[in-house]
Amino acid sequence: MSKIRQQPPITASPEEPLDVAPTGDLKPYVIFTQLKAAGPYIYAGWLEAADDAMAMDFAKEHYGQDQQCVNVMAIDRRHITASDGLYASSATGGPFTVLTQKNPGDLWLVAGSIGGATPQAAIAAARSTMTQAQNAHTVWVALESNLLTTHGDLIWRHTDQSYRLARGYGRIVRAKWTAFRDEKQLADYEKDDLAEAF
Amino acid sequence: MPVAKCTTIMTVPDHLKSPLIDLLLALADDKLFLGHRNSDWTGLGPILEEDIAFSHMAQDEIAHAQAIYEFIGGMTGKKADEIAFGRAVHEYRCASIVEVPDEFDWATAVARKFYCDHFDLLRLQRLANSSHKPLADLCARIAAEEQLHVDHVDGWIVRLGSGTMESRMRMQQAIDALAPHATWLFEPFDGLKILVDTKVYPGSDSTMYDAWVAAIKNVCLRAGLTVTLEVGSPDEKHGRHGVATPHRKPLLDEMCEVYRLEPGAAW
Repeated sequence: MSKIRQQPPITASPEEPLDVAPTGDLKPYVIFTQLKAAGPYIYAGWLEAADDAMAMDFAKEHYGQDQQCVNVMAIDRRHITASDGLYASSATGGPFTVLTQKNPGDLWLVAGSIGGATPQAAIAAARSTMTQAQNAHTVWVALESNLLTTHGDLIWRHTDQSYRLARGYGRIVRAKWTAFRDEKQLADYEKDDLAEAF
Repeated sequence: MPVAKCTTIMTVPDHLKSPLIDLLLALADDKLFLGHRNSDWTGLGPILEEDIAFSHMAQDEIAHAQAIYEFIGGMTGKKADEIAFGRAVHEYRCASIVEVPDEFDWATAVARKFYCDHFDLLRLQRLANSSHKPLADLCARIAAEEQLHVDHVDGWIVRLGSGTMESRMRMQQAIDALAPHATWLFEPFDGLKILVDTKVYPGSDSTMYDAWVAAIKNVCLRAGLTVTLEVGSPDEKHGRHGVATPHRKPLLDEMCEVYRLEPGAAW
């Protein structure tokens, strides 16, 4: 067994809570993408930006280019309230958009919309009435009015972007390698053929 | 859907081929040089997300250039790589603004992109209404992507211009330094008139220039910046006639180094 495996797993929680406060004048935004029209919004990642406009710009550039999608949504982390207490927003009124994580490490999914006077009330209501939220490991809520979306603007480029992606790179490069190999094999065969015949 | 590659000889009348090739070479060379210059910022952007976004847009410019070179190749029978990297220095048709270095000054890089992207958008929108349908279709798709570039760079102009005293000063200096180069994007070339008359390149240069100046000034106004744009003498010859700045040759030597090792090599 390797030395790493011999070490016991870490069971003690850290002495101090995780510091999630943003630094500098950039704010963290969480990004969701909608791959197909009327499809669910799925967690894509995070980014830091100075303001909402910059966040949407970056969201389209970074997460809208990973795969073909029709919409991108960004939420300023200050507007998120988490059921595990990691994030807390002072927003009041509703409606709230509910986001759920079924198991630790799973992607977040947008579950729907719910009313509530406070974020905590919205979380409680989601837990009791929304199937997706009832057994979820963690639930987030954010005021719908604080969500940023692209409203159908162009995201996915029209020009062939497959060269940027692993699958595109693999397909294009493999095709070129196969063509080169076949050409070389033909050249070697012709050389051998000439050597035998003459 | 990805843009269809041009694999057949384009049916362009003979008397239009030469001026159309000149126009498209100007478009593609501008994009190739700008993409190459902007790709220098990969790994060096002011913040991580902008570094990635700027690199993406540099890739876009080169992808656009490739699509245009392939279109030209459909008319000439040459491959895109040969057109992009195999010409002599004086055969390129790019404007001087894409040749001058930015000395790794972010404000200069943003100002150059600002002038060029607004010009490119207008040029592509004119070509999207071309009487030559394959060209119109291609440019319509590229114009939609160019709009993203314009929106992005406008955001930076406004943000830096209306930011701190230092950011405004540096942005203003960059806008002023590149303004003389910017107007040469509109340098007229021989054959332009017949392309306009036959609606292959519909519209007029004066209308396009006015629209470009209005767009530039509008963004600068929002940013609290000033811009002075003056048209040069029509007798002067610059990039559209193959007259290169001292920066073009070393830039081409760098850009074409691998191609020149073995022209026509398969990758």
